[in-house]
Amino acid sequence: MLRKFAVKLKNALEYLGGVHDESNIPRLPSTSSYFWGFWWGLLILFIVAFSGQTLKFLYIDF
Amino acid sequence: MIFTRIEYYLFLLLPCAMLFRVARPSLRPWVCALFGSAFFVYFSVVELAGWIAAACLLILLWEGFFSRLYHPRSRLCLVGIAIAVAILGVFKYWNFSTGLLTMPLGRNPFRWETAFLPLGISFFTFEFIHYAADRYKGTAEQGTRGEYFAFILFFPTMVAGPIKRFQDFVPQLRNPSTDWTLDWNRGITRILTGLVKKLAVADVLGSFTVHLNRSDIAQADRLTLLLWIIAYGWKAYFDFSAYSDIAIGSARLLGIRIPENFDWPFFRSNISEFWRHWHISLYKWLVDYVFIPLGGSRRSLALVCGNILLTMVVSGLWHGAAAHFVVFGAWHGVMLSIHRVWVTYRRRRGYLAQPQWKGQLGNWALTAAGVTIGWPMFAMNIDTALFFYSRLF
Amino acid sequence: MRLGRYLSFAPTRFALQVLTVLGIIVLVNIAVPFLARSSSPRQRLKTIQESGPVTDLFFGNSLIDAGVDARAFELGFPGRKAVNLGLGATAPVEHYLMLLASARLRPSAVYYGFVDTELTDSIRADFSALSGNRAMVYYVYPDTAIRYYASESHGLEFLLRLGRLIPMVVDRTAIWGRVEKLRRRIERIGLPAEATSRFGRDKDFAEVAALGAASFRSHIGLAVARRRPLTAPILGFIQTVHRRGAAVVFIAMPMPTTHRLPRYGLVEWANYKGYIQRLLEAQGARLIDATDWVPDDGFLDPFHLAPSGAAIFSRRLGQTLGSDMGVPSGTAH
Repeated sequence: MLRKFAVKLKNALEYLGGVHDESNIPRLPSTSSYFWGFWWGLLILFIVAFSGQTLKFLYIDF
Repeated sequence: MIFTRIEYYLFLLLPCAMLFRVARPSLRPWVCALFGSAFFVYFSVVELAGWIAAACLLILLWEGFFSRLYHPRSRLCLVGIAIAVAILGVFKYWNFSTGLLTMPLGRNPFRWETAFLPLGISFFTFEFIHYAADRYKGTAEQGTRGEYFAFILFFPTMVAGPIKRFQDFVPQLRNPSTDWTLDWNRGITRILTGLVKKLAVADVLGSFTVHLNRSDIAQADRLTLLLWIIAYGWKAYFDFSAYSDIAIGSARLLGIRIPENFDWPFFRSNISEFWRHWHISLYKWLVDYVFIPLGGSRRSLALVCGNILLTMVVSGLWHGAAAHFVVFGAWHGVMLSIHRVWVTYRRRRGYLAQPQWKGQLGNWALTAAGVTIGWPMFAMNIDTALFFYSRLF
Repeated sequence: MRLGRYLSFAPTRFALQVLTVLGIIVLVNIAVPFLARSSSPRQRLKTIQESGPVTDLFFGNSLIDAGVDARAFELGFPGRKAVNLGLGATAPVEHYLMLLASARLRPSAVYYGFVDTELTDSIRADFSALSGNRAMVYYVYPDTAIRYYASESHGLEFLLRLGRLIPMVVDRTAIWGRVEKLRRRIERIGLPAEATSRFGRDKDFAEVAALGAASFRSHIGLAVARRRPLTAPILGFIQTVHRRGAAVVFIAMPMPTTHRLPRYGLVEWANYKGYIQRLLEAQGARLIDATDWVPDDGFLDPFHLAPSGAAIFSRRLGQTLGSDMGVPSGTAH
């Protein structure tokens, strides 16, 4: 059961992160423009809040 | 910090993505090549060694023309590989290798004082090698000059991958996805997620990793040292996977899918699985162009382990021109070899069943411990890493 | 339509998504000014608005903010009423803007505290630097600020003019600052507590002090050899004060021996000091060298005065000014 939950959680997070095109989690409102608008807004807020002192990407100089 | 700069999005990604979508199919590769060149020049000037770094665009232009001479079984493919390795060797390993050779002298008379790394050299040279090797084997079509320029100048992946394959890229260049709404939804979501991972997670974890220096290590207790080094691993993951997210999302805006680079590596229960899910495109490249040419798995167990070790040393050296990266690679090579021996032993004994959850948990803990023990050799020079271990154990 | 051959685009769905994001961004822009309502520059502007009659106004960065004790100054110079408008992490352009904003106060003397070569160092700032207290450039005489900072860069001018319209940009540190505090708290986990003051970490100031010492000699030597002029905002500052009919006094602020001895003991420093004195006098301004007025135990960190040091400095400044005729004795307006 724990394994099933972990797989579902992984899929949900990947879907929210833009990895997959379709959600295999029935309750996620995959087609709502409002949902994705709010989600983007939330991500943008995080970006603004944490963008004060960004460090270099680790692999840039490699 | 290219992907955290607003001009990347406003003046490169968005115009390129829109132009690519509306351009005639025959012009699409040139849209990629044009914006890729602009990307290379602009960020070389503002982020690297200025115009001299920007002039390294000539390397990519040279490759674009020279690669037209590649044919199956042609020696020119091997020359192309040698040139790519030489370019990487000169820019990345000159001071390291001449320093080793002149060590008995106590100074390096061949030292290149103004050495710099051209933007994305570690990645684009690997793509050069892949194309030349696959052309030699006859497993990659030639493609048009425009398509090859688009491949090597594809700016979302130019700086830090994922390392693409020509065979996967070109069909998409010819027939990119036309579902603009879906691509932009997924692409923008992926980019924003990448930025959040970078800024809100990796950089915050950076608050721990700034302490990986001798004076702070001397002040910290064991538990704190453990916390710092675990944080370093997670920071490395979030930082680089964030970069890959942004690269993948950017490519998606053009309707092109590029390979995934990470797939929850820290939740894997053996070191082999870890590497199959950590920097996937590099791992696959190393398997195809180092491990298999060395003989791959079709040798005696001892030789296979030697091949694994050598491949991982190459991987370590690729990460940076310093002894500690070699040790890091060797450490992972040793772990992978031990795992290979263990798997072979179990197979010979007929132990094929998957372990129960307790066993899985133990495997995961062992893998996590092995990976964590390796991070100091990645994060610090040898002296500092040894000092770290002496304080930790 | 030609595009239709290549695209299948559902503009309504996508537009709705973008509109939702924009709605959220608008809401945040309404919230940000609320979060930033008590930022330091706004507090100084409020001080200007609420202040009664004054005779003496102090401008500068955190050295003035920490170093001027208005009460001690008034004790040293009876009959005066002083207000400290020093603002941490700011540069001469912001000090000039603050002077412009203080037009309603009509002091008889204005003081400008500086350290090292601040009066002749070139004016530079990029978009990312103009945040925190320096964000006042967006809302205090922004055109003047743009004239100084972006005279050679249309790109920066565009960013500053655009940024002015977006509270999230102007007061970005209202959000960042809180995150930065969290980050610093995380950074200290497992390590002994470090010395900090309200101006920042002592460690950071010590690093700045150490960095400056090595190149200081050649820097001041070059400034004199190349006859580097007073920078434009400093000249603007002096001219504005004179137009208002007040005297202007520049103060080389007190420094501890760790900063003073390796720098101010140099022959080159004596030359430089003489050089800027002549520049200031040519503009009708006066220079007071207060660098050695406060003993080391009067300092909070390698740069800033502690309250005890601020009292010593301010009282002596008042006494010095009260005992000569360099500053008009005028009454508070």
